[in-house]
Amino acid sequence: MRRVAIIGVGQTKFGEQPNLGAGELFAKAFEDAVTDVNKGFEPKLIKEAYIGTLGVGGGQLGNFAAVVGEAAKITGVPITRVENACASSGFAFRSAFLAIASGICDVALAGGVEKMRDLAPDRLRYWLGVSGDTEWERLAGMTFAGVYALMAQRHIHQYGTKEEQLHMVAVKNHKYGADNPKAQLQRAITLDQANKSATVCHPLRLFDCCPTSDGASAALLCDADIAKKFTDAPIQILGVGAGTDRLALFHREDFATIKATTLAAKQAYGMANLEAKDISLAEVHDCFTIAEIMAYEDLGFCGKGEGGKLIEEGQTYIGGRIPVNASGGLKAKGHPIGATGVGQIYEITNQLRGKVEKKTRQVPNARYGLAHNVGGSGATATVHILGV
Amino acid sequence: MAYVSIPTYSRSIPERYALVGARCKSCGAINLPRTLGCLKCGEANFEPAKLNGRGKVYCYTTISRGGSPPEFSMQQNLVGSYHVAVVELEEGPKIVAQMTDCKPEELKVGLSVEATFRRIYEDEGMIRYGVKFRPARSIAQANLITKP
Amino acid sequence: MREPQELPTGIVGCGVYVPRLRIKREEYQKAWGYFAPRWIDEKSVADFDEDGITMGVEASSNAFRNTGLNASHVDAVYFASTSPPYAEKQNASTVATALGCRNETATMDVTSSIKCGLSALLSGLDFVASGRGKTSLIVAADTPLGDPTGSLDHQLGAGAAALIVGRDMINGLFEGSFSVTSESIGERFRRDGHAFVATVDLGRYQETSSDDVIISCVKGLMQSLGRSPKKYDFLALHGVDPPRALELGKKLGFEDTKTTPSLVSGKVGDTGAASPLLALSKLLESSSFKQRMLVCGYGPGAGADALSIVVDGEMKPVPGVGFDDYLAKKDYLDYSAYLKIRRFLGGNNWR
Repeated sequence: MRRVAIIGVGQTKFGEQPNLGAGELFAKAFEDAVTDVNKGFEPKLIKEAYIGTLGVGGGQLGNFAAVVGEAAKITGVPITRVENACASSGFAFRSAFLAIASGICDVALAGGVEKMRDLAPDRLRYWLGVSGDTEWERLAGMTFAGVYALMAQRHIHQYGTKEEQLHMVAVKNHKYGADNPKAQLQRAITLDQANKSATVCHPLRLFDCCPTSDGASAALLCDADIAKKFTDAPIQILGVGAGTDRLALFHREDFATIKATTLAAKQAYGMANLEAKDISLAEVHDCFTIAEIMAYEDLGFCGKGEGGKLIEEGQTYIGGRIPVNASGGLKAKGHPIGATGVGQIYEITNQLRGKVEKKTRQVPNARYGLAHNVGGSGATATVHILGV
Repeated sequence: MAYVSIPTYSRSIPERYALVGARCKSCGAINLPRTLGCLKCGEANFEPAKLNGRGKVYCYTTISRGGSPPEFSMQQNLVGSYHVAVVELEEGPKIVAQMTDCKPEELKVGLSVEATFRRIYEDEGMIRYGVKFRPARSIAQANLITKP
Repeated sequence: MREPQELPTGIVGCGVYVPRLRIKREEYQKAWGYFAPRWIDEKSVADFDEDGITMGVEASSNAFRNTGLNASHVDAVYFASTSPPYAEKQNASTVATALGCRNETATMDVTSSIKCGLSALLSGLDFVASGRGKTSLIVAADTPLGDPTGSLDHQLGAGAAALIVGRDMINGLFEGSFSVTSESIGERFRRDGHAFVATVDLGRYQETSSDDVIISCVKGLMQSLGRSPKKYDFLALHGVDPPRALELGKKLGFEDTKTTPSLVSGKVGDTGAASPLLALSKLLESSSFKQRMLVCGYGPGAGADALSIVVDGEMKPVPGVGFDDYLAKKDYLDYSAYLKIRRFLGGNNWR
């Protein structure tokens, strides 16, 4: 199996992009990724492409691969659309890695795109419900936020996690989002504001939930042996892992953990020959603040049930034991479903290169970065470990 | 709408209306709804088993106004927020359903509940019935309800 | 009239259901400046997720609990309502499936008049008497609605009753029935496709004609059985409001004390087709051995059915599901919540 490197990354601003359709949005992210390859890059070198998108947005649904071909000007090559709900581009990135590692091609494109702000509320709520169990969870009136609210309640019940600790995650992520020009929400909040915000699904409040977003992301990968031809700063893909779990939350044994994450992390750490304590920074899937707390535990940054304590002690801030979501996370940066996974790769790549836009959110001496992407309430997950 | 087709919905009517679960012939575990593989042992060899509708709230949440799936928009407009709970049934399986006849103050993890047949939503012109849960009557009464 | 001596049939047990929600007369007074019926202070209201089918399932489940039987024991399910959720798509089948009845179950809906609950009961007795089956389940469940700008809606409530009828384990022996038909128009009706039950409200004219129908039916039954009012412990007259029921009872020779216990409308409102069976169930729940009751259900523009039952065994409900238990379990609505929940303002015409 060959080693694989990242030679360029690009991402649009996440948030409101009313003038750009999905294809145009992806084209922007792709162009940025090409420009990012600092010794020059021609799209015609791409021999495989993988695009993650759920298809929200009321535009092209089937055969979206063809749209990607036109946006990246690579029509003709094999392009595959990957759908694993919110983990779509995490899995797209993994597929691009596998294509190169297997030797099928030397250069591949992975990316994601989602248009969520084009929809009327009813339609949007339809889409927000498709990633959980449809026949039972949804027909009981459950929503995506509702499922995570159930997980939060069990975490509180089983471990004594405090509601305020959930809000502390939001405060941290908003602080970093305020310094991220590509974030959707660039406004710091106070703990008091978060504590007092309106309840969405008890116990989750307004600031515990990520927004809906438009956005696109792209990454160019190649065989590690030829990476230096393209860039002085290739980033190595050291660990790749993915996992799955039962679709319906109520079919799982423990609601206060995402088993798919644990499985994916084990694979990634194993391949990279690293442990949780070696990681310099992580971008985790905080679609809801409880998801970040569970991610601390599932990724091994702390023991089971200790996630609340970790945030309360400030250990996941820059300067703490393990900086998490210095980009602002899904919470403040935004969560265009298909684009999020590769968006995390974009952030980690920039962090490892020391090239984050605002120094205030640069993790110093970053050596190993971990990207964690989850689909729905945890039916699918990927973990990728990148290094300098 | 989510568009759960009529055949998809209809295949699960005995489960939805009458809590007819699936007993695994290999390990005896009760699955409700019936799964592609037994939750305990993974085998796909089942026989029907009617459940008694009693259980405890394992966890719950409130879906506040404006957040519901479109199938429940009209319900939210008319009556506001509703509660959804995961109920751990006496026979073992966990099931997700709305709560009804329940005041917010009554609802807590561990509450004893019982199933009741109600209208859930409407789609394609047809009423979709199913089961919701309400706080159980007292233990003494519940015991007397246990008849073969 | 069928003489039942050749093949004794009767009531094995019963179950009732009254929804939790109530609305008081004061709410109507605030909204409209008046509350039409003087014979109730509050009435029951089916919740937004309830209808005739769900209430019928609840009452039937209680009947099974109270008797120790279950759905696999019944050979027929008859569903009676003037407000069935479907005008076409048999409601009894949904009830039977929800209860877990066998596939080989005869099902039938009975509708179109508030006497249909009683008619369904008589048919259920015929079903077992004829040998078509051993046991039948008769469910009457209703949530009639009137035009909110009119006065008929004021009295309309919601409720359900279920009776298990058979040839064995009889606790309420069926002694005989009598039926009359009547084509009186305008008294209470609902045209096809219309949501609200209406009345032309001809006052004394209608009262006189309905009095005649009820009297002829009750007298007809007593004559054919060779019994006088003295032989009866209870009289239940439904299809007319409680004050008129008491008046008619007296005219027929029954003291108020015999009629009063059956006046369920005075507690929960006019529950349409469920009313006579709700009353019968309430009487049976607290009855004692050898007590005899006469139940007559009148339907405007339909006629009347009457039957005679003598108690042969106990039919006490399981604690918590008796009529009085349901009366005690209540939460009040204000008028705007009532309008929304019963879909008067839109959001599908739920019944």
